[in-house]
Amino acid sequence: MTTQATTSPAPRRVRPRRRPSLGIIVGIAVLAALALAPLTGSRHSLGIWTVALIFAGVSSGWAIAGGLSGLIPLGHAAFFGIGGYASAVVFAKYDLSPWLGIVVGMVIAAALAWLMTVLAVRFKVRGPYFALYTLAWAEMLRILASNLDYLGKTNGVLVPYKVDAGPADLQFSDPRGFYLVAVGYAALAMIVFLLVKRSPLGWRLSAIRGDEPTAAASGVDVARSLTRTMALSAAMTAIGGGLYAQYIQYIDPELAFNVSVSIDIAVRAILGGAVLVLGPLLGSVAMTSVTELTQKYMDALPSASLLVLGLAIIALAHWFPTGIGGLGVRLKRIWSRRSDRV
Amino acid sequence: MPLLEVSALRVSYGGVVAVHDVSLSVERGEIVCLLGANGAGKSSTLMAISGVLPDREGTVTFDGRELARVASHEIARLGLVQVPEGRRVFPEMTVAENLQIGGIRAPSAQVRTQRMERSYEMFPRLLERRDQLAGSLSGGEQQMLAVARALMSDPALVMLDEPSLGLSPALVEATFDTVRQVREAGLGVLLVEQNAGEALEVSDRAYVMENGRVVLSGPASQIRNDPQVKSAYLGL
Repeated sequence: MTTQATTSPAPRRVRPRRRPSLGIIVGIAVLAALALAPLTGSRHSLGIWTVALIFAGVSSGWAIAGGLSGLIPLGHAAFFGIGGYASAVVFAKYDLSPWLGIVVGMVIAAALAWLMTVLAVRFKVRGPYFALYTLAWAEMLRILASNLDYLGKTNGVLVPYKVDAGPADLQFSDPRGFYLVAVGYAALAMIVFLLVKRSPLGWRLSAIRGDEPTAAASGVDVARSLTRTMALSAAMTAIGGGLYAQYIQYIDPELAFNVSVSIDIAVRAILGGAVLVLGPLLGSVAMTSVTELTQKYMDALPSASLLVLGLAIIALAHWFPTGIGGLGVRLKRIWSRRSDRV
Repeated sequence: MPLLEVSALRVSYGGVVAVHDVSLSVERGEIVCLLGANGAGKSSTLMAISGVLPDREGTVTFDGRELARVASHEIARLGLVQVPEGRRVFPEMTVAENLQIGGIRAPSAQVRTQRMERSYEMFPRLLERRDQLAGSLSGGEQQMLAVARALMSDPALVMLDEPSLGLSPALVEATFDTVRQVREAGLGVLLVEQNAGEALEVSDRAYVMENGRVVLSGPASQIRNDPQVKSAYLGL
């Protein structure tokens, strides 16, 4: 063993996992296709896909925490709603650009996420308890917003139309304008997700996800990694909330903070694959498609979309626990094995 | 002054005392083992030293520094690192990534690379497996990786919790060779073991615990010949 140590230095090789993955290439292709999609299709479908893309971005934001860290946050409506209210209030009450409102929302959401996570780490709230704990925070905000005069109580805040509005006001005479903003946001959220996944923070998170005490014993600062991750995830989610409120020109406590919003955000990511960069986008597209198709063809059964989604989630959890994206990864592996043989 | 000095350590779990008044020390370049049956308090002692258990009394001094209020990831940075029981590698990360996590507190990427190369020199088997997922390694290789990961933080003292647990006799032998290598590198080793025969063979000194107390301590050769130890732990 000593001879080996003295004779040859360890051979160096390029780190194999850093090459641009097929996921990124497919991601760019999908986003480019989506950007061109409004050239065809109706105004109605454009609206549906604008919302689907906003939620794809929101779910990517969720996946930064929910996929990479191993935490299960189930209260991201809190950050979504903060973004929504901040952009609406800043625009409607102070006549400032909703973009500024979105930034305000990001800061508040990140600060709240930081506080939530510091407390959760301090009192060792993990696993299912963390899910319930975050859900409770979103509920607190819902009740708060429903009772604050400043936020219009249960009526919420209306985003007024503006005469000669432009992109700075996030109002477009052509609906394709907002659609492109949504494409841009989804792309940004995916890029941020990928940067985190491949950063030193990303491998700290993957160690924490694998085995938290061992990660801590190896020198990983668990508390700091988790608080940073949650803050970033919250900020990315808040952007989507702000865009959503501007798009529908309205926000109220239920649209912002309802439990179903939190679940919707998480399910889209889990359905598509929460550790994969394409996962939330795929999940969001799938979920919106199912909802639209069932409404179109199964309108006799008003809740058919929930039924179909429920069955789809059970099937995925059983056969492809890593989501729709996991199916793609598996196909890729089979393909590369076959091409190796040839 | 010893590298690690524990005095009058007391650990309790919700009022139930698991460790009473334990004192021990480890020097640089020395292997010290902590023996005892299941439930004797060995692992609790180890976890209290590395700061995982907050409910403790007594003092733990490492390299002249009192560790009472130091968080566990900070303790790792001070140069005291634990290899937890059960070969806890990160199964879904590659061997190289596991090592990188161990070197997370390295001052620079270059230093980290240097330490990785040192690990591969010490454990050539890990070099062969560097791109393999850690979960696909054999038990002995995982134990080797867990030790190598601990060494990535450039520690002065390594604490090993039951490194031979669940390994075949040949792998147990290999694991204790690994422990010897760590001592040869000038580090202190605190070894917790149920496999008393093997542990006493590699160790310089030993402490025997029973019901949360140290009942016997001294040079390993002496402990090995103690009639009580022979009958209770060595089956002779």
